[in-house]
Amino acid sequence: MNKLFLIALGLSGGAIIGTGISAFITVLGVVVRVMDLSKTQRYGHVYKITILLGSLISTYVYMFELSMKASRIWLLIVGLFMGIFVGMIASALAETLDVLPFTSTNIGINRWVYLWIIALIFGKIIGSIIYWIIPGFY
Amino acid sequence: MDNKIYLQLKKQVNISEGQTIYLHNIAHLLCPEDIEEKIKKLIIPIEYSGNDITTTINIIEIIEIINRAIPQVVVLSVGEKQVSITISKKEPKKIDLMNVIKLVISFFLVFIGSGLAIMYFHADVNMHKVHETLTIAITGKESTSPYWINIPYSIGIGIGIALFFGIFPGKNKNPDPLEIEMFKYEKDVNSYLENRQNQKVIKNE
Repeated sequence: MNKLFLIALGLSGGAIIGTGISAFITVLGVVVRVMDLSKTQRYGHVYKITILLGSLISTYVYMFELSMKASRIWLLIVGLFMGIFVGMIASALAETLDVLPFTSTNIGINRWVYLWIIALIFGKIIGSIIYWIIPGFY
Repeated sequence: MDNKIYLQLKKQVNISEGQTIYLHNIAHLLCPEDIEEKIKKLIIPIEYSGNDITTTINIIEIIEIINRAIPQVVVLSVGEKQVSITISKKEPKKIDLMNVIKLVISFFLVFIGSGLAIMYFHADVNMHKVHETLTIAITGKESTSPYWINIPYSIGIGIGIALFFGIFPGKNKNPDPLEIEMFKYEKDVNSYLENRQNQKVIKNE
């Protein structure tokens, strides 16, 4: 009986998190942006399956501590793509908050707004590297 | 169309301070040839005070001006009911010191702030645990040196932002999200100002 309850609990929790995560990714417009950049709007269904597979596989890897025993080079590739995705999510979030248009119109430096993004990029890269390299942050 | 004028107001026009506005600046016109020149050169009086940079003119005011000049014509309006006029101050061409200071300060604000935000984010979502788990998952070894995943990850964040905002030059020139956001913001501001102007007019009457 206890186990049945656990199964129900896990299933419903997973369903909610699954819908939540796909809504999160879709609403922020990251996938749409990727499609737009690569001009692959026609293959929308491939993206759906990819999101599904990605979340499923990473869940199993994380939960069951599977290991591929592969070369360290793979870390570089996975890390890079993780970073690209997080970067897109972060800018999508920042953009939802309308911070950049607001401040730039208020200060009246409309022409320079792309410089802001350069600042944003280097701020993120350097902030992230500091976080990982300097001990004591985690 | 013997004595009819078809008038299509533009939605939004930009003029520089002190410039005289003629009717053809703010509207597309279709009218009999004999009065075309006269109509085009009608001056639209606008009033702006100091800091007010946006003003609106209603179609009614324009019809009034036209009828005063040429009484026997009928004005048919197609399109917008009012035009919003943005008056831009004459900007000095050179970059002055104040702007440079503003620029440097805001550059540092964004620079430091975004760095801090990414650190907060990593600490909040326990990112180092994820990286350690991934290292074990891929290589099978207890994280020998986590830098193997951390550094490309950090660089990837930069690439991701650049991709999202379309920083990389290329022939693919759809408007990027920031441009759209700026456009929406300006449109909101304009429609707010139009609304306020209309309320002022109603109060005065």
